[in-house]
Amino acid sequence: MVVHFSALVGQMSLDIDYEQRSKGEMFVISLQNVTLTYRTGHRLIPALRDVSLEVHAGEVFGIIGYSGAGKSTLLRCINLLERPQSGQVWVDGVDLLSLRKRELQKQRKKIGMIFQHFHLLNSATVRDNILFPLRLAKTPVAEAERRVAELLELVGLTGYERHYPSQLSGGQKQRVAIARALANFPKVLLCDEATSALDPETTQSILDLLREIHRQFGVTVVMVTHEISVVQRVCHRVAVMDQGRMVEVGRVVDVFLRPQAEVTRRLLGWTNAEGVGADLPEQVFREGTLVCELAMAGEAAQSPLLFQAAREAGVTCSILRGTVDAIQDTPFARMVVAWYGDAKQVQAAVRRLEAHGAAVRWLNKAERMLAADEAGMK
Amino acid sequence: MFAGVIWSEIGQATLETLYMVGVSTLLAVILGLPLGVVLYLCAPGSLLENRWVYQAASVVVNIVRSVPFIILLIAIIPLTEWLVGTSIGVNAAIVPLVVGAAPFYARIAETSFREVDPGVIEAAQAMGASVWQVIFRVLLPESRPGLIAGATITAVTLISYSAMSGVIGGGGLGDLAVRYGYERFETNVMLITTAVMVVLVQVLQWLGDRAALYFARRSR
Repeated sequence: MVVHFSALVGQMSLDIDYEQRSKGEMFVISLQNVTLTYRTGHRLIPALRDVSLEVHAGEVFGIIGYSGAGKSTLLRCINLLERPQSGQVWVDGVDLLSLRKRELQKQRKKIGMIFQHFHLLNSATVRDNILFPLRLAKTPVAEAERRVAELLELVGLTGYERHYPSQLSGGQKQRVAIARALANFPKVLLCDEATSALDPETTQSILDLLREIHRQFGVTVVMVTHEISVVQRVCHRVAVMDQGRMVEVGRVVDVFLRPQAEVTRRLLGWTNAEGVGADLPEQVFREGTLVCELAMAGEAAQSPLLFQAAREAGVTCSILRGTVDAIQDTPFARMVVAWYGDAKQVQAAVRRLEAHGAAVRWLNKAERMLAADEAGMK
Repeated sequence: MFAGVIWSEIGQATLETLYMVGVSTLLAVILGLPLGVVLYLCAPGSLLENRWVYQAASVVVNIVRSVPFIILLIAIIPLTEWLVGTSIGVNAAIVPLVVGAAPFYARIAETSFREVDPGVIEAAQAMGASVWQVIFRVLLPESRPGLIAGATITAVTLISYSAMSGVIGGGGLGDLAVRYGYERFETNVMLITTAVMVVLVQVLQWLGDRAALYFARRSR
């Protein structure tokens, strides 16, 4: 009986192993139930609480959150610069936590990484900085030299071979760092706040370069940032971190359209600490005015849907606030709309918008008014 | 004032001092550098964090550094005799000089290593560098200006230490100053030897600063 039971347990754990293994093989990066706690003196600070993450091959994946949310720690778990206390880390089909030091060093050569403060060797020239990983990988000299020339051309720094990092601008330093990270043809490129130390213009040029690299080589990119605009411009999917937990993950368009977590709305700049619409003037919440938030992506963001819906329902509306921009190539519109007219007709107009894929969110008072109105009807 | 001064002896003593300082600086760096690497790597929070090794190395270094050099000089005479065969002369003086200066240089090296941006070391690790590769390809080249400035400080300190070794018959300028200047009240010899040492220190410091600056300019 006892034997039988332990055999069963053995079988169960095999199944679990199998499941994690298959995830490890399906995704280029797969983190399962990763937990990491920092110890400072007698205090324990949980940095990651049971986080699971899967990144597809060839994807640009963003990790966003406020400082201290655990996003950098999560990224650093991917190449085990931080070792989680529990959980699994699979990269390119290899269970990294099971590796010996030597094998881990070998695997790390397949994972490029760039940093907020570049971390170039100050004592080495641009050329020697890019040669660094090639020397670690024992690349033959002639081939390494060819690769350096190739990479410098890719990042637009041909002719800078003999410069020292101190002679370069921030953007140029990050370009050298990118070249260095790509030297050994990595499968994965990790970007830890790679644009946070750069001015907006340079940020744009570095993001353009990363996009170009992704397009040319199909390298999987994971980037940590606290700037929503970075996610908006280059990422396919995004994970939102808050207090060591992953509170939201999905396609960037979906997360922008229907953010689930409060912290996501705050990161998007749609809610401040006091709540939805707290920064709108008091007058817009006048008696009888229904105010809602409206988000539309793609086709819906380009057509005059709002006014069509209002006209057909026989109500009028005004836009209190609105922006149209793009999530990569998808147009994205978001506005705060005040409705004038019969509550029921307003709701009809809004339903029509929803049918076209718009995400609607009533601001607090409007929701109460609508509820009261419906109760009154019955 | 210069009457009766035996110039050839002063020349000889200067060469002896240069020899002692040169050899002992070299040996102090050769022994102190690895010790500095051990101190750095085993320090709390570092790559090979090891409390016991760090504490042991740290205590040894501190003991040697806190013993006054004149005491150290006499205390290790048995070691000197065992190593060189005698406790008198220029070669014998090198032993206490190295024993005294190596821990000193180890601390300077450790401090220089700590000034290397930890992010650069982390980047190297992320690229798959082993600890040895981090030491030889990151730590040492990145801290080169500090290591050179440290060697200069060590050499300058050794000039005055080497003079002290004159007390036990170590040879060099210090020996000359003690024998003629102090014991025979020939003040002018004392003044001349002191002046030569001042010049030596000046030249050495100037050379060291230039070397450190050369590497620092390139990297910063």
